Amino acid sequence: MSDPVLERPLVRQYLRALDAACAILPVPQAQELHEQITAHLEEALPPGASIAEVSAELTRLGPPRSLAAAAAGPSRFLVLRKLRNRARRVRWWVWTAIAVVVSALGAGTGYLVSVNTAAPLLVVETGWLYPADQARAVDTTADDVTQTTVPDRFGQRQGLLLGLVNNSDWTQMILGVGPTWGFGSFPGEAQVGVESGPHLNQVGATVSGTSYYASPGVIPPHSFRYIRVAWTSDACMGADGGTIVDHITLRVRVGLITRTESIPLNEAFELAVTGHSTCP
Amino acid sequence: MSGDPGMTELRRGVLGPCVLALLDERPRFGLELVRELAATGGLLTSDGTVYPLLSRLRDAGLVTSEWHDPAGERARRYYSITDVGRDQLKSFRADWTDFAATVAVVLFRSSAAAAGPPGGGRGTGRSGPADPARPEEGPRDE
Repeated sequence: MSDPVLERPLVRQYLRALDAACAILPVPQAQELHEQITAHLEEALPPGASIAEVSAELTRLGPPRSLAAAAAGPSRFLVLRKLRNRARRVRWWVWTAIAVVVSALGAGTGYLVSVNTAAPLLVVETGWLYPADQARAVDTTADDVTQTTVPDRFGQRQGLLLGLVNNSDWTQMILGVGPTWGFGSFPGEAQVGVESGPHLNQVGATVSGTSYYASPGVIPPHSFRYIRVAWTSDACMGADGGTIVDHITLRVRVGLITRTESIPLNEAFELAVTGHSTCP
Repeated sequence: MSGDPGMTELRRGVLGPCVLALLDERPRFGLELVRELAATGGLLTSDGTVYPLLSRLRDAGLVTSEWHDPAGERARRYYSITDVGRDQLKSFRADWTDFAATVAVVLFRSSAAAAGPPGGGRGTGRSGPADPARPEEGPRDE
Protein backbone atom coordinates (compact mmCIF):
# COMPACT_ATOMS: atom_id res chain seq x y z
CA MET A 1 0.00 0.00 0.00
CA SER A 2 1.42 3.38 -0.93
CA ASP A 3 1.30 5.92 1.88
CA PRO A 4 2.93 9.33 1.87
CA VAL A 5 4.05 8.74 5.45
CA LEU A 6 6.48 6.10 4.26
CA GLU A 7 7.91 8.51 1.73
CA ARG A 8 8.99 10.98 4.37
CA PRO A 9 12.80 11.29 4.34
CA LEU A 10 13.15 10.52 8.05
CA VAL A 11 10.99 7.43 7.70
CA ARG A 12 12.78 6.23 4.60
CA GLN A 13 16.11 6.72 6.34
CA TYR A 14 14.88 4.79 9.36
CA LEU A 15 13.58 1.92 7.27
CA ARG A 16 16.83 1.74 5.33
CA ALA A 17 18.76 1.58 8.58
CA LEU A 18 16.38 -1.08 9.81
CA ASP A 19 16.93 -3.19 6.70
CA ALA A 20 20.68 -2.86 7.12
CA ALA A 21 20.49 -3.83 10.78
CA CYS A 22 18.27 -6.79 9.92
CA ALA A 23 21.09 -8.37 7.92
CA ILE A 24 21.75 -10.45 11.04
CA LEU A 25 18.27 -12.01 10.78
CA PRO A 26 16.95 -14.76 8.56
CA VAL A 27 15.21 -13.27 5.56
CA PRO A 28 11.62 -14.16 6.60
CA GLN A 29 12.19 -12.71 10.07
CA ALA A 30 13.71 -9.54 8.64
CA GLN A 31 10.83 -9.15 6.22
CA GLU A 32 8.28 -9.62 8.97
CA LEU A 33 9.92 -7.04 11.21
CA HIS A 34 10.07 -4.60 8.32
CA GLU A 35 6.40 -5.19 7.63
CA GLN A 36 5.48 -4.75 11.31
CA ILE A 37 7.39 -1.50 11.66
CA THR A 38 6.00 -0.20 8.39
CA ALA A 39 2.45 -0.95 9.51
CA HIS A 40 3.16 0.67 12.86
CA LEU A 41 4.36 3.88 11.21
CA GLU A 42 1.49 3.97 8.73
CA GLU A 43 -0.95 3.68 11.59
CA ALA A 44 0.81 5.87 14.10
CA LEU A 45 1.64 8.81 11.86
CA PRO A 46 -1.11 10.86 10.27
CA PRO A 47 -0.47 11.90 6.66
CA GLY A 48 0.27 15.46 7.65
CA ALA A 49 2.53 14.65 10.56
CA SER A 50 5.17 17.25 11.27
CA ILE A 51 8.85 16.48 11.27
CA ALA A 52 8.82 16.69 15.04
CA GLU A 53 6.00 14.15 15.25
CA VAL A 54 7.75 11.81 12.85
CA SER A 55 11.00 12.17 14.73
CA ALA A 56 9.28 11.55 18.09
CA GLU A 57 7.56 8.43 16.79
CA LEU A 58 10.81 7.04 15.40
CA THR A 59 12.51 7.77 18.71
CA ARG A 60 9.77 5.89 20.54
CA LEU A 61 10.25 2.94 18.24
CA GLY A 62 13.90 2.75 19.22
CA PRO A 63 17.12 2.46 17.22
CA PRO A 64 16.91 0.01 14.31
CA ARG A 65 19.89 -1.90 15.62
CA SER A 66 18.08 -2.43 18.93
CA LEU A 67 15.04 -3.79 17.15
CA ALA A 68 17.16 -6.14 15.08
CA ALA A 69 19.07 -7.22 18.18
CA ALA A 70 15.81 -7.83 20.03
CA ALA A 71 14.56 -9.92 17.11
CA ALA A 72 17.81 -11.85 17.01
CA GLY A 73 17.52 -12.78 20.68
CA PRO A 74 20.49 -13.40 22.97
CA SER A 75 23.81 -12.26 21.57
CA ARG A 76 25.43 -15.66 21.88
CA PHE A 77 26.72 -16.86 18.52
CA LEU A 78 25.57 -13.55 17.04
CA VAL A 79 28.56 -13.37 14.71
CA LEU A 80 28.02 -16.89 13.45
CA ARG A 81 24.32 -16.23 13.00
CA LYS A 82 25.09 -13.01 11.17
CA LEU A 83 27.43 -14.79 8.80
CA ARG A 84 24.95 -17.59 8.26
CA ASN A 85 22.11 -15.22 7.54
CA ARG A 86 24.23 -13.15 5.20
CA ALA A 87 25.22 -16.32 3.42
CA ARG A 88 21.58 -17.28 3.05
CA ARG A 89 20.89 -14.00 1.29
CA VAL A 90 23.38 -14.81 -1.45
CA ARG A 91 21.71 -15.99 -4.65
CA TRP A 92 22.32 -19.54 -5.91
CA TRP A 93 24.12 -18.35 -9.01
CA VAL A 94 26.55 -16.36 -6.88
CA TRP A 95 27.36 -19.54 -4.96
CA THR A 96 27.76 -21.36 -8.25
CA ALA A 97 30.11 -18.67 -9.53
CA ILE A 98 32.06 -18.76 -6.27
CA ALA A 99 32.29 -22.55 -6.47
CA VAL A 100 33.55 -22.35 -10.05
CA VAL A 101 36.11 -19.68 -9.20
CA VAL A 102 37.29 -21.53 -6.09
CA SER A 103 37.53 -24.79 -8.04
CA ALA A 104 39.45 -23.07 -10.81
CA LEU A 105 41.77 -21.39 -8.33
CA GLY A 106 42.25 -24.67 -6.48
CA ALA A 107 42.97 -26.57 -9.68
CA GLY A 108 45.25 -23.81 -10.92
CA THR A 109 47.13 -23.64 -7.66
CA GLY A 110 47.44 -27.41 -7.51
CA TYR A 111 48.70 -27.43 -11.08
CA LEU A 112 51.29 -24.73 -10.43
CA VAL A 113 52.45 -26.40 -7.24
CA SER A 114 52.71 -29.70 -9.04
CA VAL A 115 54.76 -28.41 -11.98
CA ASN A 116 56.91 -26.22 -9.76
CA THR A 117 57.76 -29.09 -7.49
CA ALA A 118 58.42 -31.54 -10.33
CA ALA A 119 61.79 -33.18 -9.82
CA PRO A 120 64.51 -31.52 -11.92
CA LEU A 121 66.41 -33.44 -14.55
CA LEU A 122 69.34 -35.51 -13.36
CA VAL A 123 72.61 -36.09 -15.23
CA VAL A 124 73.67 -39.75 -15.01
CA GLU A 125 76.13 -39.97 -17.90
CA THR A 126 78.64 -37.50 -19.27
CA GLY A 127 81.24 -37.33 -22.01
CA TRP A 128 82.72 -35.29 -24.82
CA LEU A 129 80.56 -35.24 -27.92
CA TYR A 130 83.11 -35.21 -30.74
CA PRO A 131 85.71 -37.95 -31.41
CA ALA A 132 88.42 -35.31 -31.75
CA ASP A 133 87.88 -34.34 -28.13
CA GLN A 134 87.26 -37.89 -26.92
CA ALA A 135 90.65 -38.89 -28.31
CA ARG A 136 92.46 -36.04 -26.58
CA ALA A 137 90.62 -36.02 -23.26
CA VAL A 138 92.79 -36.23 -20.18
CA ASP A 139 91.00 -37.36 -17.05
CA THR A 140 92.33 -36.49 -13.61
CA THR A 141 90.99 -37.10 -10.13
CA ALA A 142 91.73 -35.14 -7.01
CA ASP A 143 89.81 -35.19 -3.75
CA ASP A 144 87.22 -37.50 -5.30
CA VAL A 145 86.52 -34.95 -8.03
CA THR A 146 87.03 -36.09 -11.58
CA GLN A 147 87.94 -33.62 -14.28
CA THR A 148 88.23 -34.21 -17.99
CA THR A 149 90.23 -31.75 -20.04
CA VAL A 150 90.43 -31.25 -23.78
CA PRO A 151 92.20 -28.61 -25.89
CA ASP A 152 90.23 -25.55 -26.78
CA ARG A 153 89.76 -25.86 -30.56
CA PHE A 154 89.23 -22.24 -31.51
CA GLY A 155 86.60 -21.71 -34.20
CA GLN A 156 85.52 -25.37 -34.26
CA ARG A 157 82.51 -27.22 -32.92
CA GLN A 158 82.93 -28.80 -29.53
CA GLY A 159 80.34 -30.30 -27.26
CA LEU A 160 79.13 -32.59 -24.50
CA LEU A 161 77.00 -35.71 -24.60
CA LEU A 162 74.90 -36.02 -21.46
CA GLY A 163 72.56 -38.78 -20.30
CA LEU A 164 69.57 -37.27 -18.47
CA VAL A 165 66.87 -38.86 -16.38
CA ASN A 166 63.47 -37.26 -15.87
CA ASN A 167 62.30 -38.56 -12.49
CA SER A 168 59.18 -36.40 -12.40
CA ASP A 169 55.60 -37.22 -13.40
CA TRP A 170 55.67 -34.48 -16.03
CA THR A 171 57.08 -34.48 -19.53
CA GLN A 172 59.95 -32.01 -19.57
CA MET A 173 60.78 -30.18 -22.78
CA ILE A 174 64.33 -28.89 -23.07
CA LEU A 175 64.31 -25.55 -24.85
CA GLY A 176 68.00 -24.74 -24.65
CA VAL A 177 70.77 -23.84 -22.25
CA GLY A 178 70.34 -21.18 -19.64
CA PRO A 179 71.22 -17.65 -20.73
CA THR A 180 74.36 -17.48 -18.64
CA TRP A 181 75.72 -20.96 -19.19
CA GLY A 182 78.71 -21.58 -21.41
CA PHE A 183 82.42 -22.13 -21.67
CA GLY A 184 84.23 -18.83 -21.44
CA SER A 185 83.05 -16.19 -23.82
CA PHE A 186 80.05 -17.79 -25.52
CA PRO A 187 77.37 -18.03 -22.85
CA GLY A 188 73.94 -18.85 -24.18
CA GLU A 189 75.14 -19.74 -27.64
CA ALA A 190 75.24 -23.52 -27.20
CA GLN A 191 72.67 -25.61 -29.03
CA VAL A 192 70.91 -28.47 -27.33
CA GLY A 193 69.46 -31.49 -29.09
CA VAL A 194 67.42 -34.13 -27.30
CA GLU A 195 67.39 -37.75 -28.38
CA SER A 196 64.06 -38.28 -30.08
CA GLY A 197 62.37 -40.77 -32.33
CA PRO A 198 59.02 -42.27 -33.14
CA HIS A 199 59.45 -45.18 -30.76
CA LEU A 200 61.95 -44.82 -27.95
CA ASN A 201 61.48 -46.76 -24.77
CA GLN A 202 62.00 -45.38 -21.29
CA VAL A 203 65.73 -45.86 -21.41
CA GLY A 204 66.01 -44.13 -24.76
CA ALA A 205 66.53 -47.30 -26.82
CA THR A 206 64.82 -47.44 -30.21
CA VAL A 207 61.96 -49.91 -30.39
CA SER A 208 61.55 -49.31 -34.08
CA GLY A 209 62.88 -46.87 -36.62
CA THR A 210 65.82 -44.62 -35.88
CA SER A 211 66.44 -41.94 -33.33
CA TYR A 212 67.55 -38.38 -33.99
CA TYR A 213 68.22 -35.26 -32.00
CA ALA A 214 65.54 -32.61 -31.87
CA SER A 215 65.59 -29.08 -30.57
CA PRO A 216 63.54 -28.48 -28.62
CA GLY A 217 63.06 -32.04 -27.51
CA VAL A 218 61.16 -33.79 -24.75
CA ILE A 219 61.99 -36.31 -22.06
CA PRO A 220 58.88 -38.25 -21.01
CA PRO A 221 58.19 -38.87 -17.32
CA HIS A 222 60.52 -41.39 -15.69
CA SER A 223 62.58 -41.76 -18.84
CA PHE A 224 66.20 -41.50 -19.92
CA ARG A 225 67.43 -39.55 -22.94
CA TYR A 226 70.75 -38.41 -24.29
CA ILE A 227 71.19 -34.77 -25.07
CA ARG A 228 73.84 -33.11 -27.18
CA VAL A 229 75.19 -29.73 -26.11
CA ALA A 230 77.38 -28.21 -28.82
CA TRP A 231 78.97 -24.86 -29.43
CA THR A 232 81.62 -23.19 -31.57
CA SER A 233 84.61 -22.49 -29.39
CA ASP A 234 85.58 -18.87 -29.71
CA ALA A 235 87.37 -18.29 -26.44
CA CYS A 236 90.97 -17.52 -27.24
CA MET A 237 92.95 -17.82 -24.07
CA GLY A 238 96.55 -17.30 -23.32
CA ALA A 239 99.01 -20.05 -22.57
CA ASP A 240 97.93 -22.30 -19.68
CA GLY A 241 94.51 -20.68 -19.82
CA GLY A 242 91.32 -22.70 -19.45
CA THR A 243 87.70 -22.66 -18.53
CA ILE A 244 85.80 -25.24 -16.51
CA VAL A 245 82.12 -26.09 -16.00
CA ASP A 246 80.78 -28.53 -13.44
CA HIS A 247 77.05 -27.98 -14.04
CA ILE A 248 74.75 -27.15 -16.87
CA THR A 249 71.73 -24.88 -16.78
CA LEU A 250 68.85 -25.81 -19.03
CA ARG A 251 65.67 -23.95 -19.86
CA VAL A 252 62.96 -26.54 -19.38
CA ARG A 253 59.23 -26.32 -19.96
CA VAL A 254 57.16 -28.30 -17.48
CA GLY A 255 53.47 -28.18 -18.27
CA LEU A 256 52.71 -24.55 -18.97
CA ILE A 257 55.63 -23.03 -17.14
CA THR A 258 59.24 -22.60 -18.19
CA ARG A 259 61.95 -22.79 -15.61
CA THR A 260 65.72 -22.91 -15.54
CA GLU A 261 67.25 -26.01 -14.00
CA SER A 262 70.81 -26.00 -12.76
CA ILE A 263 72.02 -29.60 -13.07
CA PRO A 264 75.30 -30.80 -11.59
CA LEU A 265 77.51 -32.82 -13.93
CA ASN A 266 79.17 -36.06 -12.83
CA GLU A 267 82.56 -34.57 -13.59
CA ALA A 268 84.11 -31.23 -14.39
CA PHE A 269 84.77 -30.35 -18.03
CA GLU A 270 87.65 -28.11 -19.02
CA LEU A 271 88.64 -26.45 -22.23
CA ALA A 272 92.33 -25.67 -21.94
CA VAL A 273 95.05 -24.06 -24.00
CA THR A 274 97.49 -26.91 -24.58
CA GLY A 275 99.83 -27.99 -27.27
CA HIS A 276 96.81 -29.13 -29.25
CA SER A 277 94.91 -25.86 -28.98
CA THR A 278 94.37 -24.08 -32.22
CA CYS A 279 93.97 -20.58 -30.98
CA PRO A 280 95.34 -18.27 -33.73
CA MET B 1 11.71 5.11 33.77
CA SER B 2 15.01 3.64 34.88
CA GLY B 3 17.68 2.85 32.32
CA ASP B 4 19.34 0.45 34.72
CA PRO B 5 20.38 -2.73 32.90
CA GLY B 6 18.82 -4.83 35.61
CA MET B 7 15.47 -3.11 35.13
CA THR B 8 15.79 -3.51 31.38
CA GLU B 9 16.25 -7.24 31.83
CA LEU B 10 13.34 -7.34 34.25
CA ARG B 11 11.08 -5.52 31.82
CA ARG B 12 12.13 -7.84 29.05
CA GLY B 13 11.23 -10.79 31.23
CA VAL B 14 7.77 -9.60 32.13
CA LEU B 15 6.82 -8.03 28.83
CA GLY B 16 5.82 -11.33 27.28
CA PRO B 17 3.31 -12.23 30.01
CA CYS B 18 1.96 -8.67 29.88
CA VAL B 19 1.35 -8.99 26.16
CA LEU B 20 -0.34 -12.32 26.75
CA ALA B 21 -2.52 -10.70 29.41
CA LEU B 22 -3.64 -7.98 27.02
CA LEU B 23 -4.37 -10.51 24.30
CA ASP B 24 -6.27 -12.61 26.80
CA GLU B 25 -8.80 -9.80 26.95
CA ARG B 26 -9.29 -9.67 23.20
CA PRO B 27 -7.27 -9.85 19.97
CA ARG B 28 -5.27 -6.72 19.29
CA PHE B 29 -3.17 -5.33 16.47
CA GLY B 30 0.42 -4.22 16.88
CA LEU B 31 0.07 -0.50 17.42
CA GLU B 32 -2.83 -1.06 19.79
CA LEU B 33 -0.68 -3.31 21.95
CA VAL B 34 2.20 -0.86 21.83
CA ARG B 35 0.01 2.04 22.89
CA GLU B 36 -1.49 0.17 25.80
CA LEU B 37 1.85 -1.07 27.05
CA ALA B 38 3.41 2.37 26.63
CA ALA B 39 0.56 3.89 28.59
CA THR B 40 1.59 1.92 31.65
CA GLY B 41 4.67 4.12 31.75
CA GLY B 42 7.28 1.59 32.74
CA LEU B 43 7.08 -1.53 30.71
CA LEU B 44 8.60 -0.51 27.39
CA THR B 45 12.12 0.69 26.80
CA SER B 46 11.17 1.30 23.17
CA ASP B 47 7.95 0.70 21.29
CA GLY B 48 9.61 -1.24 18.51
CA THR B 49 10.74 -4.11 20.70
CA VAL B 50 7.14 -5.31 21.01
CA TYR B 51 7.18 -6.56 17.44
CA PRO B 52 10.07 -9.00 17.74
CA LEU B 53 8.46 -10.17 20.96
CA LEU B 54 5.18 -10.84 19.17
CA SER B 55 7.01 -12.85 16.54
CA ARG B 56 8.73 -14.91 19.20
CA LEU B 57 5.47 -15.55 21.05
CA ARG B 58 3.89 -16.67 17.79
CA ASP B 59 6.83 -18.93 16.99
CA ALA B 60 6.47 -20.42 20.47
CA GLY B 61 2.80 -21.15 19.78
CA LEU B 62 1.56 -18.77 22.47
CA VAL B 63 -0.16 -16.38 20.06
CA THR B 64 -1.41 -16.49 16.51
CA SER B 65 -1.61 -13.68 14.01
CA GLU B 66 -4.10 -13.07 11.27
CA TRP B 67 -4.65 -10.29 8.76
CA HIS B 68 -7.97 -8.46 8.96
CA ASP B 69 -8.80 -6.47 5.87
CA PRO B 70 -12.29 -5.10 6.23
CA ALA B 71 -13.62 -3.13 3.27
CA GLY B 72 -12.83 0.56 3.51
CA GLU B 73 -10.50 0.18 6.45
CA ARG B 74 -6.82 -0.27 6.92
CA ALA B 75 -5.56 -3.84 6.79
CA ARG B 76 -4.17 -4.92 10.15
CA ARG B 77 -2.48 -7.95 11.53
CA TYR B 78 -4.32 -9.04 14.67
CA TYR B 79 -2.72 -11.14 17.35
CA SER B 80 -4.70 -13.63 19.46
CA ILE B 81 -3.66 -15.73 22.41
CA THR B 82 -3.72 -19.51 22.01
CA ASP B 83 -4.74 -22.10 24.59
CA VAL B 84 -1.10 -22.80 25.25
CA GLY B 85 -0.59 -19.08 25.77
CA ARG B 86 -3.45 -18.97 28.25
CA ASP B 87 -2.02 -21.85 30.22
CA GLN B 88 1.32 -20.15 30.36
CA LEU B 89 -0.23 -16.86 31.40
CA LYS B 90 -2.16 -18.56 34.17
CA SER B 91 0.95 -20.23 35.40
CA PHE B 92 2.93 -17.00 35.27
CA ARG B 93 0.27 -15.11 37.18
CA ALA B 94 0.42 -17.63 39.98
CA ASP B 95 4.20 -17.61 40.07
CA TRP B 96 4.44 -13.85 39.80
CA THR B 97 2.40 -13.17 42.92
CA ASP B 98 4.67 -15.30 45.06
CA PHE B 99 7.79 -14.11 43.31
CA ALA B 100 6.98 -10.42 43.66
CA ALA B 101 6.16 -10.87 47.33
CA THR B 102 9.41 -12.71 47.95
CA VAL B 103 11.47 -10.09 46.13
CA ALA B 104 9.77 -7.31 48.07
CA VAL B 105 10.50 -8.97 51.40
CA VAL B 106 14.18 -9.38 50.61
CA LEU B 107 14.60 -5.94 49.07
CA PHE B 108 12.99 -4.01 51.85
CA ARG B 109 14.40 -6.06 54.69
CA SER B 110 17.85 -4.83 53.52
CA SER B 111 16.64 -1.24 53.45
CA ALA B 112 15.14 -1.61 56.90
CA ALA B 113 18.39 -2.92 58.34
CA ALA B 114 20.37 -0.06 56.81
CA ALA B 115 17.98 2.54 58.21
CA GLY B 116 17.73 0.87 61.58
CA PRO B 117 18.34 2.63 64.92
CA PRO B 118 21.92 3.67 65.75
CA GLY B 119 23.77 1.38 68.09
CA GLY B 120 23.53 -1.75 65.99
CA GLY B 121 19.96 -2.75 66.69
CA ARG B 122 19.14 -6.03 64.99
CA GLY B 123 16.46 -5.97 62.37
CA THR B 124 13.90 -8.73 62.47
CA GLY B 125 12.76 -8.47 58.90
CA ARG B 126 9.27 -7.95 60.25
CA SER B 127 9.59 -4.34 61.25
CA GLY B 128 7.76 -1.46 59.62
CA PRO B 129 8.73 0.38 56.45
CA ALA B 130 12.36 1.47 56.35
CA ASP B 131 11.72 4.63 54.39
CA PRO B 132 9.02 6.73 55.94
CA ALA B 133 8.73 8.67 52.71
CA ARG B 134 7.54 5.55 50.89
CA PRO B 135 5.40 3.70 53.38
CA GLU B 136 3.42 1.92 50.69
CA GLU B 137 6.57 0.13 49.48
CA GLY B 138 7.43 -1.37 52.81
CA PRO B 139 7.58 -5.07 53.44
CA ARG B 140 4.47 -7.00 54.11
CA ASP B 141 4.00 -8.50 57.53
CA GLU B 142 3.25 -12.13 57.23
